[in-house]
Amino acid sequence: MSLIIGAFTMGLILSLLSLGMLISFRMIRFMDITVDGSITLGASLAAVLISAGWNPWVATLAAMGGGFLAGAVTGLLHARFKIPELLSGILVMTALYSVNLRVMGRSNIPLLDVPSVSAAMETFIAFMSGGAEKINTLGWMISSTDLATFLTTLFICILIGTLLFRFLLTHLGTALRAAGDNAQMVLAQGLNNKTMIIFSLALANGLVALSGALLAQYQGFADVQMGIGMMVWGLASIIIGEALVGKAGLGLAITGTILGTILFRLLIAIALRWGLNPNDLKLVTALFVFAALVAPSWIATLKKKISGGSRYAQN
Amino acid sequence: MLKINGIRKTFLPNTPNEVRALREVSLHIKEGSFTAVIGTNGSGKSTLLNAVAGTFEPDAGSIHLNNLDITRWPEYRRAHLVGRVFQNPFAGTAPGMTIAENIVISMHRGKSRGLGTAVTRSVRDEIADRVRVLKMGLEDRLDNPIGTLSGGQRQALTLLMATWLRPKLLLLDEHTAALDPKSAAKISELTKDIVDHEKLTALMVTHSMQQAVDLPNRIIMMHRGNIVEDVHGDQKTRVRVPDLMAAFDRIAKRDLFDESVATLLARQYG
Amino acid sequence: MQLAHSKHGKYLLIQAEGRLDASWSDLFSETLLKYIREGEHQVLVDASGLNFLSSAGIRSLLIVHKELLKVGGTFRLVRPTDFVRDTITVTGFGEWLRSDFPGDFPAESGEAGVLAHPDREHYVLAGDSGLTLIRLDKLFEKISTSSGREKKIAFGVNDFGFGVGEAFQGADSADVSGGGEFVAAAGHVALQPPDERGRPDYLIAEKEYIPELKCRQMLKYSGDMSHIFRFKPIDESPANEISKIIDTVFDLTGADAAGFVVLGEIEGLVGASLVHSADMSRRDDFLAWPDVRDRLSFCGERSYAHEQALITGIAARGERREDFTALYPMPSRPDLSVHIHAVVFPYQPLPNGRLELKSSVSRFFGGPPPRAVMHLIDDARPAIGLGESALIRGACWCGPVLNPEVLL
Ligand SMILES: Nc1ncnc2c1ncn2[C@@H]1O[C@H](COP(=O)(O)OP(=O)(O)OP(=O)(O)O)[C@@H](O)[C@H]1O
Ligand SMILES: [Mg+2]
Repeated sequence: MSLIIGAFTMGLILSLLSLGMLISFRMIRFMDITVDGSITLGASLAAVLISAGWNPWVATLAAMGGGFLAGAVTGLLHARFKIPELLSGILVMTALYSVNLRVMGRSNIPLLDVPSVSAAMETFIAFMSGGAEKINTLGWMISSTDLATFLTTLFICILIGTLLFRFLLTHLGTALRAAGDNAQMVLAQGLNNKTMIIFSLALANGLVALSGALLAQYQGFADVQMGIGMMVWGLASIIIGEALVGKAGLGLAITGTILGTILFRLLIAIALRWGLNPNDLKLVTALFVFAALVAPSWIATLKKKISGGSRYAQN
Repeated sequence: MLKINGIRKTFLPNTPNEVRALREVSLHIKEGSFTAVIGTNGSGKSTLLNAVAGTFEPDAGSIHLNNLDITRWPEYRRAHLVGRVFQNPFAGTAPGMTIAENIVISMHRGKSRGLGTAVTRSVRDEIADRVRVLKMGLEDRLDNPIGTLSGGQRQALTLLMATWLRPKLLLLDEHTAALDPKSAAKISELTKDIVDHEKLTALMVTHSMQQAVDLPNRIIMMHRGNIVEDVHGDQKTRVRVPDLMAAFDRIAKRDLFDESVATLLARQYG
Repeated sequence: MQLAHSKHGKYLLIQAEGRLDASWSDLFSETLLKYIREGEHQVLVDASGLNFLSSAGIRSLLIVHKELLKVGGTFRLVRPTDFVRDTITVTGFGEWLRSDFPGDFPAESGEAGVLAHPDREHYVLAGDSGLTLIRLDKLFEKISTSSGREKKIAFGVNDFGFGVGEAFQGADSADVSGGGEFVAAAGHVALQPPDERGRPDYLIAEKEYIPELKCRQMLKYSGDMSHIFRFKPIDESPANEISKIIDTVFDLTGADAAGFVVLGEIEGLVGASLVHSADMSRRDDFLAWPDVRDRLSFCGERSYAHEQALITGIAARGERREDFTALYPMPSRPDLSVHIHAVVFPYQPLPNGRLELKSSVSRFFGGPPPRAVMHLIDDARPAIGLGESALIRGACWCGPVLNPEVLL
């Protein structure tokens, strides 16, 4: 059962990454590869700061700030220096590799016996349950640390999701969405769409780094390699989310993205359980995204063929 | 009001494809006047409007609007003073966003955009009231994505958005050209209503001679990056479609007038 | 509906079968108007096969009727079906309903589908009369006081010509820009004020009034015309070039110099018109490339096809004569020296036969306003030349120029 709760927690953490990518990929339609670097940046910053004795919440916020900066740099490269969007992302991602090594001082920092953001929740649960190891939650016996982490992540996720939703409905958020939808229109309405791009990427990578910070605390380590392939994961989650709830409406998009990430994570957990070689995981993910990208047009042609066939049948 | 002085713009300079789109164009436009820009394809009409809107910086010359030198202002900053409607009905609105959201964005043209909720109840009511005037039934569809509307409806909304906050200058680039005849007539009428009612200063590119005769009180004609005719005042009052056609005809003839014609005429003229 | 036609003597018989209603009426009137244009002015419609006539159909009949009235032709419905006769009688249009054929309708059946072209017909008007040529040329002269440049010239019923000038605005009128190109014929003047940009103005002699122009340059020929001839497309060549018309003028008048006036449907005009005349002080400067483009406008293509032209001109044949200084040799016909101007009018039908000059010119000036005034040029440039102006059909009045030109 800890497998499932683990998958849920992991899904919730990564859903912050997906939400960040929802902003860059879907809202302003920017193929942002910075993600692979900024999630590691978030993880490493959080790990280093927490190890140094910072309050985990403050450390997590600082990590988020780091991602924010990384995103802003990508935006700046693209908007101010007119570097193509993919290349801007690649440049920053590559640079971040060294930055992350610098931040951590080595390629891996373990987080053992240090408090995490769920510390408060753990204390609370211990208080409520009288310090039991395992707790009966809806009939399942779950370890109290797992439950605390799960609840904390859930809380953060709901908080971020709601804030994001509210933000996108503000004047600034509306302008941000418009910048992705029709840049020409945004310019004609007196908005600096370069600033909008920079800001959006900063926001997106801030969320990604937040996800990285939580991930490091959940996994108990930060690793300089941990970001590889994260962008494709996020993309897969968004696609699944859209398949689940559709694209209509902001609230649905946000909920869908969170649900999609969790579902994707569960699927992976199940696949791993069934004996999928973890080394193949990224290949499978890439294949999945490929299929999701081409499937709509396949289905359309297939439908046409079927209806075309029936027309012949009638004659 | 708008003072364009000697602006020049050459695209792809020093290449075989060099185009001198504007050659020393000067144009002064009075407050409250409505000017049509006509001319053959590629004569530089859109380039002139884009120079004013700030899509690019001119190679030479200056542009003053409202006594401000806006020559070096970026496009988005000029939008604080300038409202625009494009030829493409899809260019002026964000298709994935609702009618209300699109309009809210234009309600804050040139203002700071904070973290207040964009579409509040009172804003919605205000939008519904203004949209109702279009008589397109759009007031009931404020939460539909604009992408689901027809080109004519979108263009009407774009026009409304461009003029929601009274712009110092309204730029219309063939804004009815991509519409079916009925929608075009409707947008044309709407343009006149809004410009008259708000006493706007407007610059409109059009290929419809009838529109050039009906709507504005001044017509300028462009050819090869120059202003070749400027019809205003009394002259504009009496100008009719055939006069404009004749002006096009004269320009076409002038282009065909080469040195061999001059030699020919010299032998037979007197 | 089915339409077929056949020629019977002077009559054109149209066989109409089926319904003449809203969907067919345009085709019907357009077809008949085309025949009228081609000179068929006696038109009978055999309505024995016409089984339905709506108000739209009646309207199309009226259109044809009115067009024929203008040229003094006839239009009759013969052998109408009962339905058609009742419709026409009840609606009150009965006067052109004739149930039988006119008396001079030939008994034998006509040749189906063939329109007859009578030979080029001509009439002698006043055999012994001739034209006097008067010329004023202050155009390219440098005269210090501008008041000395213009001369007031009247254009009466017997005056024809062209030049550069402007409408006379009373004795104390302000100094002028230089005027525009004009064409005068039989008390009518069409002129192109330069600042009006393509909207010619016109003056018509009426009662006591005779058009007067302040001219800077003009060539005027006065007197009675001696001949009139009609021209039409002959077989393969639909066009009657100006030089061809001038050849006929010389054939008929027997003179070496002649003045002429042509009214006719245009095949294509080639020429130039004056845009700015203010700086016409030296001919060579005025015509110098490239500034000439701001002063003259060249048509660039054969223009005004199927509209009507009023053309006035002077022509001389043989060696270039010193006493006709305002004539220029045609590049494609060096044996002819000419100076020809034209006014273009929207199309109007012209009656057949021997036309009276003054009333025919009046007919044109009485209709929709002229569209253009131009100086006809023979464009014989190799490969790119537009050729010379040509007409499809029309009438030409001409007379010999008796004495050498008189210089004013
Ligand atoms: N971005 C550009 N790059 C290169 N050439 C350009 C560019 N924009 C315009 N041109 C050229 O400049 C000239 C003027 O173009 P412009 O769009 O102003 O013409 P227009 O008068 O608006 O014509 P139309 O009636 O076809 O809209 C054209 O020859 C065009 O090809
Ligand atoms: Mg254009």
